[in-house]
Formats: sequence, structure tokens, C-alpha cells
Amino acid sequence: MMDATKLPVVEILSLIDDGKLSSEELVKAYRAALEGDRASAKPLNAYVEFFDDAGDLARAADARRKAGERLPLLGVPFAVKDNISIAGRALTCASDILEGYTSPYSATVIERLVAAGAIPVGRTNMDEFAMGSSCEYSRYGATRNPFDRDRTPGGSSGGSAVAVAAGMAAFSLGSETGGSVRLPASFCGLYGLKPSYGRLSRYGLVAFGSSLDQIGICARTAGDAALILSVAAGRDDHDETSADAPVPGARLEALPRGLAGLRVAVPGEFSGIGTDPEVASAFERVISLFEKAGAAVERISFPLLKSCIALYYIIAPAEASSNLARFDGIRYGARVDGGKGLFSLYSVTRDRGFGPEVKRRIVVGNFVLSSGYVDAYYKKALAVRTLLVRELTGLFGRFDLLLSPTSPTPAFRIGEKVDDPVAMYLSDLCTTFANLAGVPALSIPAGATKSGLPIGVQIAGKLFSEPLLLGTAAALRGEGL
Amino acid sequence: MGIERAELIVGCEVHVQLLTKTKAFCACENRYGGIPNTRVCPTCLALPGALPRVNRELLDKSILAGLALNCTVASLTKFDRKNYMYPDLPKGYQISQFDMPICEGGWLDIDVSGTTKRIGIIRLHMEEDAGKNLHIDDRRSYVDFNRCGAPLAEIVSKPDIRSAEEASAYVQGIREVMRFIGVSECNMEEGSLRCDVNVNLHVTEGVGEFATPIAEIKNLNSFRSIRNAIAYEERRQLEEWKGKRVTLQMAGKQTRGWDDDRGVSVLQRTKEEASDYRYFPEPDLKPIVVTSAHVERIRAMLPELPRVMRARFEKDFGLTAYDAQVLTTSSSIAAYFDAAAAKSVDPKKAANWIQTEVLGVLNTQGITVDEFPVPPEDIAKLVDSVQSGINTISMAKDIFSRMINSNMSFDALMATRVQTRNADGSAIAAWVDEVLAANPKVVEDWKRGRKNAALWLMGQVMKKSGGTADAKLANAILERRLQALQ
Amino acid sequence: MPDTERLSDEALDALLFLSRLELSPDERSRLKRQAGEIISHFDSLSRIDTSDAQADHSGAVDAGSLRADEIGPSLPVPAMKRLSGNFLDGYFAVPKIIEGE
Ligand SMILES: [Mg+2]
Ligand SMILES: [Zn+2]
Repeated sequence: MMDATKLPVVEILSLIDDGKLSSEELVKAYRAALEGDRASAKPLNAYVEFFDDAGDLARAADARRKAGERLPLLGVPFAVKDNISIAGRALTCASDILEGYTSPYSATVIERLVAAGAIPVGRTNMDEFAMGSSCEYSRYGATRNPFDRDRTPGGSSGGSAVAVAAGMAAFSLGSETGGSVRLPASFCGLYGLKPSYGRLSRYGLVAFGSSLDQIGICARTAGDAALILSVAAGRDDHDETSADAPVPGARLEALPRGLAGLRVAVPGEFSGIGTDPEVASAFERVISLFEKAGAAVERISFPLLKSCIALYYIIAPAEASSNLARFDGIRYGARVDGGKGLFSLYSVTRDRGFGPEVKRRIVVGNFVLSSGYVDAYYKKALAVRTLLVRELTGLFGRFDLLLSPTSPTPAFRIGEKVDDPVAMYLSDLCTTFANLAGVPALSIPAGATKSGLPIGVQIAGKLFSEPLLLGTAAALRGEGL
Repeated sequence: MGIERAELIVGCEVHVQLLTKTKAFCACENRYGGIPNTRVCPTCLALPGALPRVNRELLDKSILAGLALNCTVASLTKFDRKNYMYPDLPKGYQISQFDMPICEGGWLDIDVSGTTKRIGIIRLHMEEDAGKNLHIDDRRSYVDFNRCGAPLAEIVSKPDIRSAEEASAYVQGIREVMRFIGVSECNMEEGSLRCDVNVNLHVTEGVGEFATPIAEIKNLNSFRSIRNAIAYEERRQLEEWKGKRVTLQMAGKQTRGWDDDRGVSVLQRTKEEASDYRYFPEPDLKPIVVTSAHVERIRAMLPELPRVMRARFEKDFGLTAYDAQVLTTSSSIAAYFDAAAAKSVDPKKAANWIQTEVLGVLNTQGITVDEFPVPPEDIAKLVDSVQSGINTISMAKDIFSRMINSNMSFDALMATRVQTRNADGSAIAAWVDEVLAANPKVVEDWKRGRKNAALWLMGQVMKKSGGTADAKLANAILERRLQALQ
Repeated sequence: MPDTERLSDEALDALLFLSRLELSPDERSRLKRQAGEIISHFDSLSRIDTSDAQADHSGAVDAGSLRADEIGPSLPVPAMKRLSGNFLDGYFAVPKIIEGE
């Protein structure tokens, strides 16, 4: 039998349609890949749980198909980052503080995918509460990069990227606050989509930076990402910030194709700052592909992009400090009661329950919001963000796409930045602007280094331009990328 | 140098729980009491990943409340997070409003010792209630989240209040208006109206004027405790000023609790940082545009307010202040009286009838005026029938109870009586003659021009007939006899 | 300003109180240094002219689009018991609350 574990969703569906593959076989193959990996010297550690009943769910999907039922994703197994709620399943955000918590409800995106027949098969590893860029800050230990097991897969949705890259799921959901899907996608050779703010409901996604958060998609092809997005997208009454925007076509053929005539901006601010030479040359190759195909590429200057890291590391922690206040040991999750009263219950529970990066961000978030500092930091950041949105809107009046590397470097080594938060933060250099402005961005695989580490490039467009981004990615593939 | 003057300065923050079907930000039922923790959902329990959704009625009832307090309604409003951690606050923040409240700049007129005073209102904003902490035993506290997320309007007054009586009258005025417009039950025992007061003194000594530290006394839950707490605080701050001479600039604001049993306020030790609420815009909710058309639609629902109504009742209907007060205790009773008075030739009599008879029935039957079967027009007809002598008081009472029990209209009941009516002219004439003979003094009064005397005599004739006499015929015969005596 | 002095001990204490965190002395000094470093990277924003950057509320929604006031389902009591081992007699039990704490 063929190895189905590395197939894209679109091909899986046609094999299943033709009776050449069953959902049950596929889940079995993913589980075998996982178990084989667990026995290896340096396990990838992509999943924190592969559901025991995944096979049963697959068999049920096969039966439904046999009975004549047709759904867009019937029988397609997918992996879910451990910060997206699935009814009846554990949910930990890779944090000790959610030990023992089972969600009584499902995220809207999960409900929509399940209604379309897809099967959630497991929960994937992540940086605790999605705070990190390496998938190392986890109660379950670091996730490894399948292309070099001493390197990180990027974060925070590292487990979701690795589950797909290592043939343990057909696609996966991650979450994006500042690049957490695009960075691991680029480190693992996948397509990573950060949809427009509001495109996907956030209901059921554990909040980190609410004004920045979006559920993202890790997929093997642009077509897969388009299909999954079309199923999951749309207005949700449970999320007032979800958008009532038209959903892009499910079929890639329906998306705009061809690169001729595209106006592409390449901001100088994202190159030259410690960019790895191999990343730089892969990036230049993409630029020449665009140009060869008739796109107009223009190098521009966009100084505000340089401020995005500072902006992001003010706004995201500010919102996080508030969003994480609910983890208090009172109603669910871990409780450590030292018997010394209420304050001690709070502070000991949270001291034991949160890891160092989460604590850093809570403290920094409270700092930028506290009286005496709120004007200089938080309010200033909001004002700069307003400028960024305004200028970016102007830019997308003149250009269709903004092109950059996804990350200045390929995957870095495990442990390399773990004790240097500022260095870790710089991994998000090229990605945070999209979250701050709410625009969609897509990381596209663009070759590999000589040592075999994947390299990604990123295209971003104006609000709700996902069809353009996905169509462009497919066209680039057609041009030989 | 002695104290020349110590002026009491009070501002009130009143929390009013709004009468909506569901909570402010989730679809859980908004209701008092019941089995604890049965009206909770992922959102109001702050489960991971849950999000708020604004109840449209939270906005509309807040706008109505603001309009009733003469506020300006914002054309753009937004929610903010007020961050503090407490067991009854599941999210670790309260969704409230900071710099763009729904309503601003209003006032409420109050009457204190015979004069009217206008108390300024700074703002009215929307927020959610916390859960309830219960202290049942010594070891633990217990939390019930049923109330958590209930919709509140917080009404902040200017520091225009100068006495404990004014404060009490102000809060009573707020309660009356809120109940009258139907946005809240304002039941202090059930906590649907809660009050915090800010109290300090402006002391004048020689050329200097000094402000004493403001004491915020939280959660006063009766009018008595509002009065007592302010009166106590006035004395306490004056004594403290004489002894320590600490000013507001030196000590800032302090939070005090009111011990109702001992009748004293107690300093609450709170960490200074605890009041750093780190407000920021609620990212889960979008700002809300309130068009002027929307405001006008709500304004159109605003009833005449009780103070205005009372003045009109006194002026147009000649009611006493007391009667006007009784008839405006609820908007439905006021509307009922208003309708009866409009149809009646003697609104004062209608007022009396409603106060004694109608309210009496409502009381004994435990029903509201909306459930009362007799329409106000029939009360007008009934009262007028007594006035015109068609019915005696006792006959009217009989008709009144038959209207309640049979659900028949006044006209229908009168019509059935006409069928059994005595139209025998000689019998009626005999009753008339008996009445005239028995009441020579009244006849004299009539001769001297007191037209009411004829009405009274007519009533006696009807009484004599046991209510059976044809009133038109009886009236004609009486009239004829009286003219003959002239 | 050296990064270690960006946050005074008193300021850090206040922040830890607001954060409801109690740290070991080691962790505390590490966090003080790292938070200081992070904060110092925010200074670059002060050079950006934002005098013309009033927040626009273009994303605002109309009052009429808000949720209708209709009762929806609440969670059943057994769900509460699954959430917490401290759900006792229908309540969430916590250590004795001292008012003003
Ligand atoms: Mg308040
Ligand atoms: Zn609820």
C-alpha cells in the first residue's frame, strides 16, 4: 500500500472518493508514524495527545461515506493546537495551570470543520499559552524539527506544523498572535496561513492577545489551505469581532491565478538585519520568479515596520495580562492552596502553574498598563498601531502584495534563545505587522538551505485578500517554486 | 483659630441592576435567586476561549435610564476592561466603561424639607455584576456565579449632595425613576440597587479652606444605612480634623466599610496597587454606534416622569400632594388614574375611589393594576354615577364588586338593572314625597340656591327605591316637585 | 539607564501583586533583569510622532446589530463538578475571604 501520510487533503479526498483509501487506514498510518517516532532516540513530540478514539471516528466517517453522504472534508483527519477547545477533550495550552481541565464546549472553527466531516485526531504541542517562537516553553517539553532534530520547529504552533510535516495529520490548526503559524510553517516546509482578523471565529480559542489572535492553518498546499479556510470561515454570533465577509472559493481553481501584473512591494526594513545569506538568496529567487512572470516588484521603505516588535511586545502582553487573570485556581484547572488565605491561593497557584515566559509577559503587560506608565507605553503603542494601519492601508492601495522572508533565519537550535527573551522576540520580526494591522499573510515554502532546512517567504495583502494570497502561492508553485 | 464652617460634601455612585431577560454578555437567564450556579455558561464562568456578546437590551435600557435622568446619549460608546482579581469575578476583569460611557451630563431634582434641589449626574455607564461570595462557615467562602454578568447601570452623581437627608432623597429619587420607567426593580434587599457614597468635609478656618480625606463607603444596602453612614462620617471626619488636621492632599481617598450593627464606618485595608485597575478597551467587543434615530425611538418610550406627573395631578386635578404621591408609586397605577381622571367630571373623586377601593383590591388579591379587570373608564363612569345621584355609594360599591367578579362592564351592569327598573310613576312620586318630607332643611338649602342639594335628594330617592327607580323618571318628578315648592 | 534599574524593587513588587505571582528570590531577580531589558526596547516608540493618530472607530457596529435578549442554554450542574474538585454543595469553595483582601 502507498504511503498516504504525506498526501495533501485534496488528494486524500479523491483517493477516498475512488475507494483507494479509507479514513480509518489513514488514521492508522498517522498513528503508526507517531508511534514509530516515539520510539526514536529524539522523538519529535508533536502531539501531546493522539485521541484513542480517532480510529473509531474515522471508521464512522467511512461508514457515512459508504451510506452515500458527501461532505467537503468527510474523513479528513486533522491536528489541533492545544489552545483550541474541543468538547469533551482536555485542553491545557501546554500549561500546568490547566491541568485536569476538559472543555465542555467546542470552538466554532472545530464545530464547522467537524460538521464538514473532518476528524480531529489529537492535540499538538505549543509554547505555553502560545507565548514563544520555538515550541520550547511547554509543560510537555520541546518539540523537535523533523528536518533537524536538534533544532526547533518554530513556535508557538510548533506541534501543529510538525504533525503535518512528519506525516501525522492531513492538516492542522494553529493560532497566530504575532507569527505563530507562519514561523513554524516556514521552519517545517509548509504553507502557513494567518487569516484576516475576523475571518475565523475566535470562540473557543484560548485568548492571548485578543486584538491580534486568529486561528491559523498549516497545510501541505495552498489549495488545502483554501479548502479548509472556506469551510471554517464566516461570521459567528459567538464572536462579535468575527467578520461577515464573503468566504473565498473552496476550489483553488476559483482563486485568482497568475502573477502577471501583480504589484509587489518589498520593504527594505525586513532585509539586512541579520538575514541569513541562504534565506536572502532564496528570497531573491522568489523575487525573480515574480519578475519573470510579469509582476512589478518594487523595493520600498516602510519605516514603521521596524517598530512592530516593540508594538507587539507591548500590546500582546497587555492584553495577555488581562486574559490570563481567569487562571486563578478558583473554578477549574490546577489549584495550589497553601492554606494561607486567598492571596496565597492565587499567587502560589499561578507561580506553580505558569512557566517563566508567561510570567514575564504578565508582568510586562501589567507594567505597560499600570498607572504612571500606561500613557508612555500602552497608549503610545495604540497610537502607533493606528498609524501602522493607516499607512499599510495606503500601501495596499498602491501594491497588491507585500513580500518578505517569513523569518530572517531558518530553524534555530533548541536552547539557543530560550534564556534570551529579546533574541527570541526578534524571530517575529517579519510577521507581527500582519497581526497588528489585521491583514492576512501566508508563509510559502521556498526551498531549503544546503543542510536541508526549509526556508519560507511571506506574502501579505489587504484585509480579506486571502483568495489573492492563496492563488498567488499556487501560481508561484506553477512557476517552479 | 476655630472652625468657622464645615460643609459636608457627598457624591453617590448608584448601581442599578437592569431588568433584562438575559445577562449583559451571555444568554444565561438574568433572574434573582434560585439554585446556585445553575445560570452559568462558558462566557460568564470565564472558561478558556469563551467570548462576550452585548445584550441589546443592556444598551437600550441604559439609554432609557439616561434619558430619564436628563443625560446626553453618546453617539459612539465602547466597553473597557477594569482589571482586578477577586473570587466573584471569574475573568479577573469586569467589562465596564471608562472614557466613553453611554450617557453623560444629566440631573435629578429632589425635594428636601419643602424645597427642590437639583443634583447633577456626571455619567451613567454600563457594566456587568460580579458573582456572590457567601460566608457560611469559618473555614471557607463559597461563590455563586448566578448573578455574575447581570447587567448594571452605574449612575455617578456630582458631589452636589450636602446632607444625609439629601443623599437618601437622591437615591430614593433614582429608585423611583428607574422603577417608574421599568428598567429596574431597584430592590435593595435583593441587591438590585446598591449605593456607594463618597464623603468629605470642606472646613473653613480663618482665610483657609481645607478638604478632609474622602471616604468611600461601599455597598450601603438600605436608606437608613445611607443616612446613618453619612451622618456618622460627618462627625468622624470633623473629630479627626480637629485632632490630626490631615487633608485630602495629604492622605488621598480611603475605602471604608459600614458596620450597620455597630453604627460605625471601618477603614478597609487595601493595597494601594489594588485600585490600579489598568483600564483598556475591551478587544472582544467592538465600539457601538448609537444613531440619533435610535435614541429618539427610545425617547419616545419614555413615560412622563413621576415628579412631573405629580405636579400635573395637583394642578390639573386638584389632588393633594399626598394623593398625588400615592397615585404615582408605579407607572401603571399612575397611568390608570390618569385615564380615569381624564374621563371623569370629578377627578378628585376618581382619585379617592382608586386609592381606597382599587388599591385595596389589588392589595388583598395580590395582583397588579395591569391584571385588574375593571378598565379606568368604568371607574370614571362609576364615580360620576354617584356624583349625579344615579347610584348611591353603597350601590356603586355593589356595582364595583360585580364588575370585578363578573367581568361585566359598567354599562352592561347598569343596563341589566334598567330592565328591573321601577318605572311606576306613582310609586316613584310617593318616594319623592317621602324624601322631601323627611328632609326639610335640605329643601331649604335648595331653595337658597344650593344645586348640590338636589343631587343629594335624588340619591335619597334612589336609596329608598333600593336602586330600582328609573333614574330619569325619578329625576323628572323630583325636579317638578321642587319647582312647585319654589 | 541600565536595564536592571528600569524596574525598581517597589515597582516590581506592585506588579507582582497585580499579577498575583509569588516568585522565588532567584526567579524574581531574573525576571527583574529580563523585564527591564524588554521594557528598554520599547523606548524607540517615543520617537514616533503620533500627534495625528487619534483612534478611529471605523470598526464600530450599529446598536441594532447587538445580540437579541433571548435566553439560551446554561451549563448543567454535572459540568460544574467536572470542572472543579472544589465544587461543594452547589458552590465553588475558596479560602475564607477577608473583606478588603
Ligand atoms: Mg462600577
Ligand atoms: Zn452565562
